Amino acid sequence: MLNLFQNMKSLRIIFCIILFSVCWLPLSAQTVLEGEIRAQSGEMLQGAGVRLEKAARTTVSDANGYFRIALPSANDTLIITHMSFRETRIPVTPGMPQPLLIILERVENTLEEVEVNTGFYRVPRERVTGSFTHVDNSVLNRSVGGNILQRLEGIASGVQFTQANGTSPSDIRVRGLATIESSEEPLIVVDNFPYEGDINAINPNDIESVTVLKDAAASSIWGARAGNGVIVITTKQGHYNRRSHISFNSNVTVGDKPDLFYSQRRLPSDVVMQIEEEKYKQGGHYLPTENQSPFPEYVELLIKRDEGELSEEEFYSMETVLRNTDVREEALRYLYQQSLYQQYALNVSGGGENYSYYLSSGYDKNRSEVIGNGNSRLNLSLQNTFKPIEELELSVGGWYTQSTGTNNGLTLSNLRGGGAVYLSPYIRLADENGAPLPIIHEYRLPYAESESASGLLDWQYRPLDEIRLADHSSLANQLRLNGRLRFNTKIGFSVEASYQYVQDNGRSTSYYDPESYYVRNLVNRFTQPNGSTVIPHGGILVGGSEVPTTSHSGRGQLNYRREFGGVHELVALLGGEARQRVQEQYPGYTIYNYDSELLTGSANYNYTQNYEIRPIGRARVSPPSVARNRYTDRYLSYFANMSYGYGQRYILSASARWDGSNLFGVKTNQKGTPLWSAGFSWETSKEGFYRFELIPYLRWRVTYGSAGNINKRVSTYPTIFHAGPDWITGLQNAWISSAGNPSLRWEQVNTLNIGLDFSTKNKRFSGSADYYIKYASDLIGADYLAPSTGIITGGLASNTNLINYANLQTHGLDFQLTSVNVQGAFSWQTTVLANYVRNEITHYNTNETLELGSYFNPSTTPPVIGRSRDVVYAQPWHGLDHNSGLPVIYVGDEQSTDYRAYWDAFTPDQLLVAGVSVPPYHGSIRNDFSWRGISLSALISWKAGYVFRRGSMFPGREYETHGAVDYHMDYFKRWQQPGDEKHTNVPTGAGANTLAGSYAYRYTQALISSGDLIRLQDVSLSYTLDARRLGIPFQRIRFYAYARNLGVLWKANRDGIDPDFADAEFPAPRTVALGLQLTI
Amino acid sequence: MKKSINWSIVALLPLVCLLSCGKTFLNIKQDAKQVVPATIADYQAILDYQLVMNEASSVGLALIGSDEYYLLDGRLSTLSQPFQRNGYVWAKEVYEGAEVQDWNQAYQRILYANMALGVRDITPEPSERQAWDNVIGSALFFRALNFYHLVQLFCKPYDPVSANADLGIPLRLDYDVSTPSTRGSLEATYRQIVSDLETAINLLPHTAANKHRPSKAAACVLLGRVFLQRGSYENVEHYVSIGLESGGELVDFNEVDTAARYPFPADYGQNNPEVLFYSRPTSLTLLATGRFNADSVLLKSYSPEDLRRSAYFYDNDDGRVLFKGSYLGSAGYFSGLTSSELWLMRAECRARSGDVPAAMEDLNELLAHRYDRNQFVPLTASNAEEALDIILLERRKELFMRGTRWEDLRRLNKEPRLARTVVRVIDGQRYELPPNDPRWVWPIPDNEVDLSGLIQNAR
Repeated sequence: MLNLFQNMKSLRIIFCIILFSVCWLPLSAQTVLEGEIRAQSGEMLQGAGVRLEKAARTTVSDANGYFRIALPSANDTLIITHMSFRETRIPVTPGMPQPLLIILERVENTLEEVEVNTGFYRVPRERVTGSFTHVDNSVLNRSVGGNILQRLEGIASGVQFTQANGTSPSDIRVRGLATIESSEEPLIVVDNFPYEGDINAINPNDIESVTVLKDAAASSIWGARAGNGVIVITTKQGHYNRRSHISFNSNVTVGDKPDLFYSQRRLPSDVVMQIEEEKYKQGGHYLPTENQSPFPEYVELLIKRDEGELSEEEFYSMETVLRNTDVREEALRYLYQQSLYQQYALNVSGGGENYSYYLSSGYDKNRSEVIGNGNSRLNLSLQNTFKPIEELELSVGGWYTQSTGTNNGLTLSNLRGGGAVYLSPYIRLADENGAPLPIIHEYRLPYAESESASGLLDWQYRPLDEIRLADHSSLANQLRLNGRLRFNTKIGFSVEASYQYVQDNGRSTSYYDPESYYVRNLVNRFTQPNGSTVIPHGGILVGGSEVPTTSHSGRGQLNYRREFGGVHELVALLGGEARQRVQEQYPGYTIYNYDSELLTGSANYNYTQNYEIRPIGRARVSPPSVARNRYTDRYLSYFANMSYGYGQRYILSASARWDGSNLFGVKTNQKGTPLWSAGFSWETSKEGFYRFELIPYLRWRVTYGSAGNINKRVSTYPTIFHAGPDWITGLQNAWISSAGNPSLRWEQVNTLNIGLDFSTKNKRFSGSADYYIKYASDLIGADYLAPSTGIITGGLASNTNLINYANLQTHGLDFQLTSVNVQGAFSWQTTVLANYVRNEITHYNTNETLELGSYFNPSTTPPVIGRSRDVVYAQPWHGLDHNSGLPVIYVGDEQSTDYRAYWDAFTPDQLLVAGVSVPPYHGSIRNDFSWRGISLSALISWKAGYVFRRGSMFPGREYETHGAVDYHMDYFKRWQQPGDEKHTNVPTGAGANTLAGSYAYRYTQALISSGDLIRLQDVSLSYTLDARRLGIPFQRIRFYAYARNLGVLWKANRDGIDPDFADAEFPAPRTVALGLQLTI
Repeated sequence: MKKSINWSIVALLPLVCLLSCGKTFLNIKQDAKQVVPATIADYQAILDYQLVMNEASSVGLALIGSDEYYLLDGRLSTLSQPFQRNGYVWAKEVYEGAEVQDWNQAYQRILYANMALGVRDITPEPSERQAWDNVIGSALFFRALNFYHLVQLFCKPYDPVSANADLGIPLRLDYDVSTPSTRGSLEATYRQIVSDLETAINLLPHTAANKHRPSKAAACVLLGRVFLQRGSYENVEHYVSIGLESGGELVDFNEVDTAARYPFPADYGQNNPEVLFYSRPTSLTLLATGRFNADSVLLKSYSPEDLRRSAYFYDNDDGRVLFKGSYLGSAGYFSGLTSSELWLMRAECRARSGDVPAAMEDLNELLAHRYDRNQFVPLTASNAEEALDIILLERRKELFMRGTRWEDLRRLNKEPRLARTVVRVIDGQRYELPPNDPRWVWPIPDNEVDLSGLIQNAR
C-alpha cells in the first residue's frame, strides 16, 4: 500500500511539469523563454538556477520564482537546479507554449530552507556572504507552546538563552554581548518591520520561519539597532494557484505542580520554632513597636503562655500543630495546581491566478500553576495579495490579538509576613474542614485581635479568602495592519513601497471586595480615634495606567537585478525608511465605595488632609494618579545594498546605511550615524582545480562591517523634566534630568566574520563553522562623578554621568553539523550545535571606586579591563576555625577574628576571579528519527565553563531582628563542634557573629559552584497519517506529543541545585503536550 | 530604454521626499515633558522642586552630633548605618566608606540653584521683572543655605585669625560637571555665602507664594546666622532688624492645643506665621521615636508655666520623653527658618553689646508667646553676662532639634566662659567631645576625597 502510494507520488512528479498558456500575456516574440518555478507546496522558488544546456545560457529565478531566458534557436534542454530540490531537466523547443510552470521535487532530508529573509530582501542561502541562522517551519513546529522565541532555545545556532525557558528578547543574547549599559536585546523584526510590541501577542502557528542575522553583512542593513543581532520573524502567506488548504491544530499541555521542596532557602518548622524560641528567650528580639510590626505566630504563643493566657496543655497542643505543619505542603494543596495550556489554531490558505490569501485564527487558554492565575489569547489575521496586472502586486494584511489575564493567585512568597516574621514554615492556610485560616501579615496578632474587638473591622489576613475576594485582571489588544505595493518591470527594476501600522493598548484593573483584606485594612488604618471612618467600607476599584502605543512605519525601496554575460549577476537595492512610535500614558484611577453590580462609586476625598492613622502616624488618602506622558521615537534611515556574483563562485556584497533618530538634545548633524558592511564568498568546490571528492561542497565567507546600538537616555544639553503641579504647593515644578554632556557619540559594533560551509558526499555530513570577533566601541555607561558636582547616587540627574567610556570585544565560534546517519524507510539524523563565546572589556575610562559589596552583584559589578563583563568575583576561603567554627580570615598575614576590619581592609584587587556567570560554551544535540510517518526528536542541551554563587546559611542571620531573617538547609551542615571543619564549610550558627557570615563567608570561593550541565530539554513525537488512504476527507492527520523540562542529565555541582534555577523557588515544572493537526 | 528611465525617476521620488523632510522629521522631543530650560517659568520650576530643595536638608550630622538627646544602652550597636552608629560617639572613622547624604543632598541643591541661575541669560520684560528677580534671589538663597550647612559640618568653626588658612568647602558656582572641585579658604567660603545672601535680600519678596520658597525675612535669618558664626554682631542686628520688619510675627502658644499629639498643623508651615521657610531633614533611625530620649537636663529647665514643655514633649509609656513639637505637625523634625530665631538673635546681639533692657525686651516678646499668659512674668537680668546666659538657654529651649544646636555649640566653644564638653555614656562606655576638638569637624566623605582629591579634615 505504501509502495503504491510512493509510486503514485513518483508519477505525479513526472507529470508535474505542466505547460499552460496564458491568453492575456501578449507574447512579444519567440525570442524569450519565460517560466515560473515552484515547489510542490506551491511556494515560489527564488534563486533557482536555470541553464540551457546547449546554448550555455544561465539565469536565476526571482522572488516570485519567475525567470526569463533567451529562447534557443534549436531544440535544447532546460536544466533547473536548486540547493534543496532535485535537478530537473525539461526539453524545450522554439515556439513552445509559454510561460512554463515548473514544479520541483524537494530533496529528502534537506533541513535548510533555501531562502533567508533579512526583512529587506530574500536571498537564496547559497548566495549570501553573511552569517545567518535559518529556522524553518518544520523545526519550529517540533515544539509546542504559545511563545515563538521559546522555540529557538537549543535550535538556533549562536542564540544563547541567558534565562532558561526565556520568552522575551531580554532573555536572549545573539552572539554574546556588545554593550555594557545600553539595551542588550536583539532587534525583533516581524514581517519586515521592527517589532516593539509584546512578543507574546504573536501566535507561533502563524509563523513560517525565523531567521537570525548574526554578522555585520547580515545585519548592518538594520543599522543602528542591529548591534545586538536581529531576529527576523516571517508570517505565513497565501500562494497563487493553489487550492484552498484548511489546517486545524489543537493541543493540550499539562505541567506538573511545582517542586516547592526544591529551594534550599527553607528550614523545617521545628527548627525554625527552636530558633524563634531561642531568640525570644535571649531577649532583645521581638520588642514591641508603635507600628505594631508583627511577631511570628509561635512567638505570640510563647508570649501568651508566659503571660498565663495559655495553659501548658493548650500551649502544647497548639505547638504540636505548628510543629507538624509545613507551609510548602499547605501551599501545594491550596495555592498550586497542575498548569494546563490549551491551544487551537485554524487557518485557511490558497489562491487563484491573480489572488492569494491566508486567513487564520487562534485561541490559547492557559491555566497557570498558581490557582487563580491564567491568561488567554485570541488571534485573528487575514492576508491578501492581489495581482491586477502582471507587473503589479498589492498585499494587504491585518492581524488582531486580544489577550486577557487574571492574576488572583497567591504564591509562597505572598505568605510572608512583615517585620521579623519572614516566611513562617508552620503556617496553616485552612483548618480541618477546609475553612480559610488567618496568617500573621502586617501587624502583631494581639493588636489585630484587640482592634477588631474594639469595634474595628476584622483585621486578619486569610490568604485563601483573598484569592476569592480580589480580582486582578488585565486586557491587552494589538492591531497590526500592513500594505505593500510592488511594481516589477521587465528590465530588472522593481519598486516597492510598504507601510505598517501597529496599535497596542492594554489596561489592568483590580477590584477589591468589601470583605477583602485590602479594603478592611484601609478602612481600619483610617479609622479616627473617635471611631469615625474616612474610607467607606465598600468595594474598591483600582485601574492601572493605560499605555497605548501607536507606530507608523513606511519604506520605499528600489530593487534592481540583472544578469549579463552569462556569468555576472548584480542585485542591488536602495531605499529609505521612516518610523514613528508614540507611546502615551494615561492616568489610572481609584474608585472607593465601588459597587460591582451597579458600577457606582466615588473618589471625591480631601487628598491633602493628613489623617491620624492606626497603629501610628499620619497619612493622606492616596490621591488619584495624574501620570500622563508622551514619548515619541522617530527614526529615519537610508540604505543601500548590493551583491555581485561572478560565475556562481565569487560573490561580493556591500551595504551602507545612514540612521537618524530624534535622540533628544543632539544637534541634527550629530543625530545620524553612518554604517556599512562588505563581504566576500568563494565557493571553492566550483573551481576547476578542486578535486577533493570527499567534500564536494565547500564555500568560504568573509565579512566585515559596522552596526550600532541606541541609548535613548543620553542628552548633551542640560534638560529638565516637568513633573506637573506639586501636590503640596500646587506649583509647576521640574527636576533636572541631565546637566548635559556635549561630547557623546553613538555606540558602534564592528564585526568580523569568517565562515565555512561544507557538505560531504551525498550530504552525509553538512554544516558550517563561523568564527567572529565583535569590536564594540564608544559604549555608553555611567561614570562615577564626585558628589560635589551635584550628580549623586540616587539623584534624578543621573543621566549626566553617561559618557562613552568603554570598549568591549566579543569573539566566538558557531559550529553546526548535520549528520544523516541512516537514510531510507527508517531515517536517523543528528544535528549538533556547538557555540563558544567570550567577552572582554578592552577599554574602560572611569576612575570608579566602589565599595566592595558592589563587586558581588552582577548589576553593579564595574567593568575591568581584561575581564569579562560577566565576571563572578569571590573572596578567598581558608576554611573554618577549629575552635570557633567561624571562617578563618587573614588581615595582613595575621589570622584575625575582626571581620569588620577584614572587610574594610579588603580591596577589590584582592578579589579572586571565580569565573563567568554566562556559559562561554553551550550547544545542543538533536536526534531526529523517522519511520513510516512516525517521527521522534529529542533535544539535549549543554552548557559549560561557567559558575554561579550559591546561597547558604549565614551565621547569625537567623537572629536578625527585621525582615532579613534568612533560613537555609545548610543549617544542618553547619559546624557544631571542633572537628566538623574537616567536612563542612558552613560556619557555626546560633548566636554567632553576624558579621562573619556576610563579611567572610557569603562571597567566598566556598560558595562558588560550577554551573556545567547537560539537560534533556525536550522530546517530540509525532505520527502522520495519510488520511486519504482511509477514505476520509482529510489530506493529512498528525498526532503529536511533546515533553519539555525533562530534567538535568548531568550537572557538575553536588548540591542538588539546577544552575539554570539557582535562586528560584522551584525549577520550571515538566510539561507534557498532546496534540492533533488536521489538514484538508 | 525610455521606459526604464521613467521608472527610475518614479522609484527615486519617495527617497527624495524622505531626504527633504528628514531634518524636520527628527526635530521632535522624545519625551514631551523634557525641556532645555529656556523660560523664567522653567527656571522657577527647578527651584520649586521641593522634593530636592526642601527635603533632606543637610543637618543630619548636626542633629546626630549635638547634645539634645541620648540613647539607652543596647540601642546604638543595632543601628545599621555606620554614620549614625559612629556619629553618635564622634568616632574617628564615621562613614566606613558609605556615601554621605548631607554632603550629597546639599550639592544636588547647589546644582539646582546653579542651573536656575541660567535665568540671568534672559532679558526680562518689565512685566516679568519680579518673577526674574525671584528666581535669582531664590537660587542665591538656596545656594547660600546649602553652603552654610556644609560649612557647619565640614569646616572648622570660624576664627578671624585663621580663616584665611582654614579650609572651606568646594564652591560650585556653575552647573558644569567637568569643573574640578577644590577647597578654597574658609574666609572665601563665608564671603561667597554673604555676597549671595546680600544680593538675595534685595531680590526676594517680602512674602513668598508659599513657605517652600524663600522670602526676604528668611534670607535675613540665614544672614543673621552667618554673621553670628563670624562674631559680627552688628551685622547680625542689622539684618535681623530688616527681617523683623517683614516677618516677625509669632505664634501664641496660649492659642495652641498643646495637649494634642501633634499641636501644630501638618501643612508644611503654610498656616504657621512663624515659619519663614520650610525644610526638613531626612529621617534618621537614631532619632526615630523608637530610640530617642530628650536630654533630661534640658527638660528640667522648662519651668511649669512654659507651654513649650507640653507643646514640644510627651511622656511615653516606657518612661522616655519624646519630642512631638516639630513644626512639621507629624512625626519627624523641622529644619526650616522661623521668626522666633530673629527675636533670639537680636536679643543675643543686644546682650552682647551691653544693652540689657533691649535684649530682655526682645526675649520677652518671644516668651510672652510661649508662657502661660496668666502666669507669665517677664524675665530680667542684672547684667549683660546674665542676660546672655538666659538668652542662650532660651535659644536652646526654643530651637530644640532644629539642627542649630551643633553650630551654636561650635561657635560658643570659642568663648571660654561658654565652652562646654559634650558627654555620652552608653553601654558602659563614656565618650567626650571637648571644646575645639578636631572632631567638631566631620570628615569629608570618603568618595569625594577619592574622586576629586580634596584635602581630608584632620580628626
